[in-house]
Amino acid sequence: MKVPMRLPFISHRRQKPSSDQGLEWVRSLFAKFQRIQKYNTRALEVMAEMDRALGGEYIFDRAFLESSVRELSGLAYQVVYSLNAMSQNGYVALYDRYQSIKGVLDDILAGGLGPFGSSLALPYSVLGLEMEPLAGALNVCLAEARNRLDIPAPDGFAVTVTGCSQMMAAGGGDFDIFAKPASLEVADFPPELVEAINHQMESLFARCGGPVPLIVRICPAAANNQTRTETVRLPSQVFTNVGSDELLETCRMALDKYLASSEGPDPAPVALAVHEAVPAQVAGSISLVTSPDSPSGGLFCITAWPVGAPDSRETFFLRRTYPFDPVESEIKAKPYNERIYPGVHPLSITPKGLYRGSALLGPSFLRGIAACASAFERIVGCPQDLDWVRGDAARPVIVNVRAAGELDGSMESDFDAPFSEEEDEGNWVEDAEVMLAGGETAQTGIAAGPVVHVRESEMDLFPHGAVAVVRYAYPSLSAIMSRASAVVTEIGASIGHLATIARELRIPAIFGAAGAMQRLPEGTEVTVDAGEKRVYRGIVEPLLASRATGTELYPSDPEYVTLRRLLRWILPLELIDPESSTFCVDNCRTYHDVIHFSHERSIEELLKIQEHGAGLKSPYVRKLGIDTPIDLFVLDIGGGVSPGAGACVEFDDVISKPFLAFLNGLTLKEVWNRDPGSLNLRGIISGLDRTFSAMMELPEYAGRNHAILAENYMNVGLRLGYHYSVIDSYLCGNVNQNYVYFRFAGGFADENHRRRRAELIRSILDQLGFKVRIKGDLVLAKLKLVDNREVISALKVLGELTGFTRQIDLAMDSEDKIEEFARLFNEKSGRAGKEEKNGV
Amino acid sequence: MTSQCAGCQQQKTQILILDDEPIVCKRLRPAFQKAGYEVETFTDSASAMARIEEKKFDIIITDLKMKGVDGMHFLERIKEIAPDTGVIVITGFATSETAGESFRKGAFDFVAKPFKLNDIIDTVRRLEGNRKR
Repeated sequence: MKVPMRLPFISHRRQKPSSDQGLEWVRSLFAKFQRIQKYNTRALEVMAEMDRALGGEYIFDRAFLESSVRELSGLAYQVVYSLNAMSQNGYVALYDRYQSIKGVLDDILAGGLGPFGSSLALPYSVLGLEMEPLAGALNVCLAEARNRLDIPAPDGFAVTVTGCSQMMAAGGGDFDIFAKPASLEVADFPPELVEAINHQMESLFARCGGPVPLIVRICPAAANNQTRTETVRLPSQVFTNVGSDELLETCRMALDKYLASSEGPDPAPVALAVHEAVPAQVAGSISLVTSPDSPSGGLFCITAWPVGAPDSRETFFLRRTYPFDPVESEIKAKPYNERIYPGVHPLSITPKGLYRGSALLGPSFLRGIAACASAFERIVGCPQDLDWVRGDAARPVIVNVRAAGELDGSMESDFDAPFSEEEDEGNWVEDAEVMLAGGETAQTGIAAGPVVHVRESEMDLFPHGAVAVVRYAYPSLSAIMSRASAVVTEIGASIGHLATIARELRIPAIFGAAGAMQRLPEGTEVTVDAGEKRVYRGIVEPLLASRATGTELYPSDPEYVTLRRLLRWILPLELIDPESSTFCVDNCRTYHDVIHFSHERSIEELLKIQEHGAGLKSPYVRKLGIDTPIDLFVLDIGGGVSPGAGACVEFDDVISKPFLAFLNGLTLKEVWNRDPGSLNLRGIISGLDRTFSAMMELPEYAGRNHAILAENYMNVGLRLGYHYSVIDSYLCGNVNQNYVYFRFAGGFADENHRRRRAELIRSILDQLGFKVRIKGDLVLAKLKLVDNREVISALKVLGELTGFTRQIDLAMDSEDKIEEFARLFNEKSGRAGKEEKNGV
Repeated sequence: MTSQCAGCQQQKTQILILDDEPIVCKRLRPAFQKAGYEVETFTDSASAMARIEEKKFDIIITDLKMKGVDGMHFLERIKEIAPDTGVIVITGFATSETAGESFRKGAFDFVAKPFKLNDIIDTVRRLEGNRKR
């Protein structure tokens, strides 16, 4: 049931406070802003805790998931409430978004299928592993291949379990319990199912550039909240070369055959996979086989045959770890002079009885198939058998995925099974050399491969299956994550963006391991045990074999599936750019979106403090006694100024940390000393309209410069002649909350002069890491995700810029002046050796 | 009571784990086995209660809030039967009151869920160290 939100000022919608409301109004606004920051911080902590739990290092249960979601929902509510309190209910619609997300999360916790649960057909672009109970194992695997694993796979869509159950119901079965109807031969398709399938088919054709032959497969699905162990294994049902006019009938036939082959009165849930057919010359499969020569859990066995000639099968055996070296092959001779695809002459016997030609697949292609199998095993949590085809491209296209089972420890549902004595940890590793120990586990798991030191400029060259070793866990590394078998970084924490990617892809990852670059030389073969935070020299086969012993959190565990489903509606942050038109309430799809949106908009609300002069008429406003060409008036809203300060606030009375940093720049005399700019007649005429607008300002505040201060906050509004600038900064020690916002506009000179000054400011702020946007003469700059030192440094420069750019537009009479003045600013700013006040 | 492992002279510490959430037992059991312990796991408290009546364990790890027998009652019963058995309480509903009560009733440590695998193994090792002294 939807609970009505208690809105702060519902009867006073969008009323702006009058300037008479004074100090208390400003204080109240700032208190709400601080409350949003506090709730945001806690919400991010809870989200990080849930995200880390997905990485397998933590033992958690269902109660943890329920309590985390409960707390997060409470925090998100408080954030939405506080933003509306700040904005006079300017974001009421955000409450609906919050309620919608909360409803989804509650449904998932209650065992529901989430917001897609009623969908009859879904495209691969929206599917993820956590949607297996709705879309079936094959569909979600093909979708993961395309969406996240960087593995070629056909485009397509799922006729969901809901859709298939509707079809069953139309045939006389029980919709809810999936009871078995006698046959679907005479059943009519429900109209909404016809519409859903046809819609997805048309969309697929549009993506493919026109109609393409389709393939339809029966796709087993685990019942919701069951493990994959409980998924019924089905005989392979595949319908090829299906035309658009045959699709519905083929879906019916596929389900009919499934019903005929299933035993018992209640068939297991199924979906249908409908995807484009992939043109191919060679087809094959890959699976795991046991081998006494490979204690790490067998060898990959790849079979390959020319399409249409399965009797000409070739078999290859490869090692299971990168670089997947070939161990053995069985190649049969094909008919003489048969061409399969350009560049390949299959092994055949010449008329003279001599063997000639080569295998159907080269080592590189074989390794590519093995890398795909390895990636699927990692993300699904157990070995998978794959069907692949080779077309014109250099990489295999995966067309079918199914659980292997035989070698899969995680598939073992009976966790009371005895544990082998030989698997004692001491036995595994006592002879192995530890090359590196320490750091934080971002994702548990064990993997082996050669070390590759990653350089940002060479990420395209990173090979599939190597162990990525890098100094910083920088976000751009996500480009290589789908190819790495493991990741080790020297600097970085388990709660960053890259850690989240590692968990999504289930790549064993150790972050913050000091000395990794030096201790793990490039090219060295290593085995990474991320759970133990250790890297061993060489391929430690018994350790690799221990992956199946079940200490990890597997994608087959119901808690993993539930957590992953929850995180999908909690963690992703789509609303990144506050300046974008898409940065709006309607696009808040996750709790992260809601709290980030609220954070950004709360800053905007603070920025407006001076817009209406609220509080600035208060008797608490005092003049700042500093020696600069501008007069500044100070309003202390809590801890910004010493309690002992008099009617005139002196430099030493200032406590506000951001304002002190700003003053340190503003009081730098060298940057103020500049010749006055020249002004021609055109400049005077072009400035007249701005003179008029300046005159239209509220008379009490026009020309006065105000600084609203708290201990960790400042909002400075400066009116220097025809310029107007706002510097708003929050400095609290938390890099996620620290920010500097700078807005600068106006000037007396013509449009070109003012544009050049904007470019000058941009060039200086760019160096400080600001994100700068220019609209005409308006400069908008933001600095976020920075530590205190960077904020203080930026504020000092903004103080210097305030003096330096005063009326500088008049002097910007050519494009060269941008660079010239930038150099001059650096010289004046850099040569000053002014003593800064301690404590900043 | 300890048991001797096949092929080695060292005696293994016996651990019983009781948690009504199967995922906890499923993951703790192989983790402790890998670390060299002998482990029995139970998801229903009645079976665990019956088991401690017939076998003495060196260490017991128990959840606090479960269906059936309350974890605190289970802790009391353990201490009645085998006062020198070390008990570690794990719970997702940690409060200072429940922690205080657990310690008063003889628990060695109180661990809030979620916890790291390595942390619980370290706690067991500390307990072993205490018992040897």
